Amino acid sequence: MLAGKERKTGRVTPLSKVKQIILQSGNAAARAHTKTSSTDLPPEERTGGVRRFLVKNFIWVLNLALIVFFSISVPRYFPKVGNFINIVNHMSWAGLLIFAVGFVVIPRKLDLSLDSNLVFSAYVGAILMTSYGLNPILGIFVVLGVGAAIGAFNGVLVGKLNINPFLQTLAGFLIFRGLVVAMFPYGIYPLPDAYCWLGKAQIGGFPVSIIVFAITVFILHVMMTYTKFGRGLYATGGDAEAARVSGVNVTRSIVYSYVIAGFLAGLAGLLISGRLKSVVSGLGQGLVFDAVTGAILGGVSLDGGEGTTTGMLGGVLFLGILDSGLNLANIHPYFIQAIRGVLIFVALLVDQLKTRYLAKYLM
Amino acid sequence: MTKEDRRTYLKTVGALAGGLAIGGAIGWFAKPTPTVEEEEKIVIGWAARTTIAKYARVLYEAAIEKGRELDVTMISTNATMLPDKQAQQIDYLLGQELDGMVCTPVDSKAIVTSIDKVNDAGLPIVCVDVDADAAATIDAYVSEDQIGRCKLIGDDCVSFLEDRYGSKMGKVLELWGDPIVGTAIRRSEGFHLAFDPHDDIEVIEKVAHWTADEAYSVCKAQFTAQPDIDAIVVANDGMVLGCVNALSDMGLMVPGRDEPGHVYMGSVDGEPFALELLREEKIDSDSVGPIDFNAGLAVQLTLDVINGVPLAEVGDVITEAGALWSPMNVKLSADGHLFYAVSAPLAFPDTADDPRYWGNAEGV
Repeated sequence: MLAGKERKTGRVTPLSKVKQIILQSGNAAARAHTKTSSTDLPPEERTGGVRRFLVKNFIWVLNLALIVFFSISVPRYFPKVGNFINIVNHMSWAGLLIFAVGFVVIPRKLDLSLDSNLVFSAYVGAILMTSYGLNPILGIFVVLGVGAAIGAFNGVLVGKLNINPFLQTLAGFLIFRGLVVAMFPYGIYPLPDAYCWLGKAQIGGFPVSIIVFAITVFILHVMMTYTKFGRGLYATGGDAEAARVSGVNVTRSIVYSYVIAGFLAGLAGLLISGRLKSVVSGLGQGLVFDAVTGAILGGVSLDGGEGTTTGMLGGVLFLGILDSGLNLANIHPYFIQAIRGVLIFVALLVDQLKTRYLAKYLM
Repeated sequence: MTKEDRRTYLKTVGALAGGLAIGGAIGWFAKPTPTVEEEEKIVIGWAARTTIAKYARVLYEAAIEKGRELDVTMISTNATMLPDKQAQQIDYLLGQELDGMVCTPVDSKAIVTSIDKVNDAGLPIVCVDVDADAAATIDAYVSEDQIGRCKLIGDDCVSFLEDRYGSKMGKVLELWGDPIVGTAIRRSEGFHLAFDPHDDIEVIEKVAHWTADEAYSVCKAQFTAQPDIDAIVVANDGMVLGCVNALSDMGLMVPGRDEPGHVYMGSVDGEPFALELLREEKIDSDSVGPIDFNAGLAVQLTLDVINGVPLAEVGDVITEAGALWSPMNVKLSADGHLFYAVSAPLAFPDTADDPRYWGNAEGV
């Protein structure tokens, strides 16, 4: 009797707790993705609109500050249309990795193998096209498919077998980069023109890779904001157990998030190898660390459940503007890396202060 | 999309557009009118693959110095050994109204599309230290003759073995830099030109990726397994440092070429520490490339092309009495480019103090 009562209580109580968590918690994921109009907000949240806007879109404020700063300090070269096109063009592949990181970090996971995935998938496509005569259009699908397959491999091991994502993807990082070095010791050049079109071509002076990037970001935005899958990712990152009890298929969300991240890495590999018309083993090396930095700057929390596509886009542009400005400012090459590191550190520090400010005064 | 969402998006887009407008406006108004002198000054970009190694720094500093000497403005970038980053940096260099470019490619294949862009912009480009792939069109390539310099080391090693055994025989450990890098391939080719004609010389080839720590491990493992190795030839000074430490730790370091039990060591680069090891007679020879000269020559050649001065022709031999780089053979590189093949003499313990070596220069 008693045992039965306990069982019954045991079933009911967590569910009510879960509902409480989902409905009442201050979880930013829930907040960010619960569609409310301003009139639905409690009175204290309706105040401080400008401050709230500035703090919540802080990365854009930083971007604006950087643009102004470099426009003043490098007036001759920085504020040019061609330079802004260059920034977005160069960030198209790195930007895809930032979104890839976002996709796995929002459900509170990690993928360190993204840049190895990028080079491996590009190499597989390149080998099939150049040595086995594969049609370049099929080559594009192979690259994207291999990227997604590597993502699925990581996703299944992390999501279904609960292998620690850091260790699993670190192993992937070593395996795929290592395989490239071992199996393809020489760079491959040239890759077929049709394959390179997406990464290299321009339409009226405007790089196609920017269009590819923009379309991808739009699709990701819709996916993250307006679909059940997107909401499931945030819920998983916010509280996986709560999400599971409330009906989210957590395992599937995790596996799919890795598949999408892998696909994005493949797409980044496609754009970058197309841009260079070649694949070499050092391609994209270390890019995953930039990607994690960009995602965090864009508001993605390593604790999961937080981050928006507009924020991540801000993170992408921040790194692009920074690179462009530092290069054009003709900073001494010995110090450019250190200065870049310091600026990113300052941005992260200010971002952290912003989060505290937000928690203290505006939430 | 709710009203709140729409407002947020509009504000975000507004902030971005506002930022671009403000930045553009400030840039437009702040743009200083260049003086006639500035407008006329030639600008050459220096796209460095790295500045981590001492060697790379000497190369960079010599180029800047040469630019100063020629009254040319030098703008430089550092790709930190990342091919995609170098492509990006060359785009930024091209946005800076250059007149020409010197490049040390991270990768000879990945650089091709960037060189195409430089060609499309109508600018001359000279590669130094690493050649571009045959598909790229460049005006010239400047470097030491990698094959020739390593053959010199190999020949010296063969003569050491002959002195030891009375005939050309023995066991040599060869440490490769990186089998995917052209320079490493050519250096190994040079060693083999010296060793391969002699059937009784056994060469054990291992890869240590240019690093001292990997060379240390490989060397220790090889000498544990085969203590009868007579000589070591390596593709750069970083690796020779690892080998010296490995032999010292194993109690096998016997300085002095003529001492019984001495293991011959020959290396490439002429780093300051390698010259010191030569003085201590721990190593026997080091190929010293005149890299400061190479960098300066690359800048000079770029300027010559800009000014319409004709370059040398294949088959020309340029000499200068007493110069380390002399003779310099102008030939076609393996990738078919106009190649200024600079001499790189061997330094020995008794010549290690030569003031012409970049490793002995003040401040290095």
